[in-house]
Amino acid sequence: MRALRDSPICLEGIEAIDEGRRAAPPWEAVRPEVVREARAARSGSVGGSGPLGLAQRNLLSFGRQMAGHPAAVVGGVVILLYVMAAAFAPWVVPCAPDEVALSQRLTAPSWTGAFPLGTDQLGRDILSRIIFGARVSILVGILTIAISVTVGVGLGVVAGYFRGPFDRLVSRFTDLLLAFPYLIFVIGAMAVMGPGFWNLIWALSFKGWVEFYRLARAEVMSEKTREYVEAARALGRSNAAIICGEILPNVVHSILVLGTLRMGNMIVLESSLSFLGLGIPPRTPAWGSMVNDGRRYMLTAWWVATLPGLALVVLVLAINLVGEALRDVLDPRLKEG
Amino acid sequence: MATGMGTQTVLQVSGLSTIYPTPRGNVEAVRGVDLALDEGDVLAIVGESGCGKSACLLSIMRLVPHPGRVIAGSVMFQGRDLMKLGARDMREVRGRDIAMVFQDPMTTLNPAFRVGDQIAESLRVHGLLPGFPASLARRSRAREREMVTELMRQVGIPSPETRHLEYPHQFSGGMQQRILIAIALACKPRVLLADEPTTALDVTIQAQVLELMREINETTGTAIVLVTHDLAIAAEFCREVAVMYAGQIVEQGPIDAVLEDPVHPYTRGLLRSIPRLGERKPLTPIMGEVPDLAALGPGCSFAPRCEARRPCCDISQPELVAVDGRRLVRCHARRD
Repeated sequence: MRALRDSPICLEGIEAIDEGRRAAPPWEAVRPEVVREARAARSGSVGGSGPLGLAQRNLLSFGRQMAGHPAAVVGGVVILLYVMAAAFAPWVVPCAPDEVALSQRLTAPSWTGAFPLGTDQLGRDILSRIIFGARVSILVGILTIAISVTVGVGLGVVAGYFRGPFDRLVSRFTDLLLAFPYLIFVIGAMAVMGPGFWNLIWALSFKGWVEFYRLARAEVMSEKTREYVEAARALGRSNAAIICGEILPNVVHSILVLGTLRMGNMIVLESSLSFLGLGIPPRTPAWGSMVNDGRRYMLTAWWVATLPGLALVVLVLAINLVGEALRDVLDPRLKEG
Repeated sequence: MATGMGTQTVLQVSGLSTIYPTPRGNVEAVRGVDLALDEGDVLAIVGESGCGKSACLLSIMRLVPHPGRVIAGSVMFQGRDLMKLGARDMREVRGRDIAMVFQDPMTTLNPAFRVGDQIAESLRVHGLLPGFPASLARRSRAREREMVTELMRQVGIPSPETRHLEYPHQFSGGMQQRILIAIALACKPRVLLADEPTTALDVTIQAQVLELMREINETTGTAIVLVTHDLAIAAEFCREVAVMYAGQIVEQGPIDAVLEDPVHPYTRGLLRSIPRLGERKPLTPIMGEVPDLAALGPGCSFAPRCEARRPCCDISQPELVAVDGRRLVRCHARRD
């Protein structure tokens, strides 16, 4: 809670809230004059009740609710650490990730030594390789989910809203894709295309969009029967405006939740493929291939395989914790009044 | 029609017919409905559930849900036949010229947006407020808030300056319906189609909402078509009433005449089945069931339930004819 409140993004709005809280605790009921005063106090910022002001307040309410889930805050901090480390990898690592020091091979972890997390069978620093491996995992997670969401939601919204032959065609195609086990499918695709970063992204996304398609399609179909859609039509809004302006805002929360949870899956899949030697090419450090490297030394040098695996577990756990909290906060059925 | 006010006709519906194809055959939801609405008219359409009241309104707006469709008839509005308009022109008419208020305010408002934004949206759709991105300008935001709070004030929502920032679930049912009426009135429509606007509300709130609609009708001259199954509301609110049965209008005329001296046996039956305060007589329901609209016979569709049934009723459809100069009745057994 404190950590979030002190972050610079939320500070502006917090003032307004704290001003208002003296009068009325639920911030939705903040008296407008109080908010206006608070707003006027921060000169140069947006005034009035326009879209920007609303977006700020919405974000704030969302932040406050997320802060109510301690596990999610921990998860968020962990994810932030991983992302920072990955983004600034060349500057934060103690050694180059591919610097070989055969004389130092299989050094045990020690806080005082040159290699805090030890070295592998070629004497490469494991900490540096884990940090560089985070780049691969995070990028794969973000890119595959971005592609899957774009394709899946785009097709799903159109299919769910207009139905008809397009829906039948795409839905049958997704049924076909779902008939393949995911891992086998991706292994097959990678075996054909060969290892490589972009090949991996395409192989994972090729099936990843199906779930988003089904979710978006089902949500749109159920939202479409709601009266507000009919009312929007009676108001003279076009189909495109109804999809983007009326239905999507009611659907976006479930897509966000699924996207977060699936990102963990994608990262695990990437590691599985790298473990099998089908994912990222061997020169690039990736957690999966590091675990595979250390497999043979499990009994003599446990750290080579265990630590990259631990890095993977912690990241995926953090992502899932945040995903769970998002579901609690964003599900309108659980939302407080 | 029979208002005698000599004002001009705003909406002229003739021969409107709508079907819903089903595996059992075509359900004829609306069968040749004729209506004429003058400026400032208040017309009630009453009837049982499933008699085609709502389908009739949706047909006028060309919003009949797929796979239903209007198969015949015309709706003349400002010299144009709405049934022949292109999709884009029809969207222009919806909301701007003819607005609609729905039954359940809770589900008709979009839960994801603040009510002020939803009212503003209705102004934006028809260009009364600038759309995105011009809507972000400080001046247009101020103007937007001014127009929205003014509309909310008009429909009697207290402290609109605060409440336009609230979400639909923070309002009571009556207030939600007022917001919907504000949305419908935003573009100052010529005709307001109200589909059971008070059914989801409790009785005192019903009266307030009806009073609000009456006020709007009197001050702006907006013609109102009120669909309801409640004859008391029709009697209270409307000058003219059309009774629908099985997709057809069976009796239409000034409200006093129809309620005090109903001619059609169905109207008589409806009136007898309303409980009255202080009377301890048992109610007389209309026996039998609503006919299957997918399998209508050649005769009068009310004949199987009719107390005044004659042999000819099973053979031929009665026409809607004028009776005692003031109203129209569709019955073989009418008095002439």
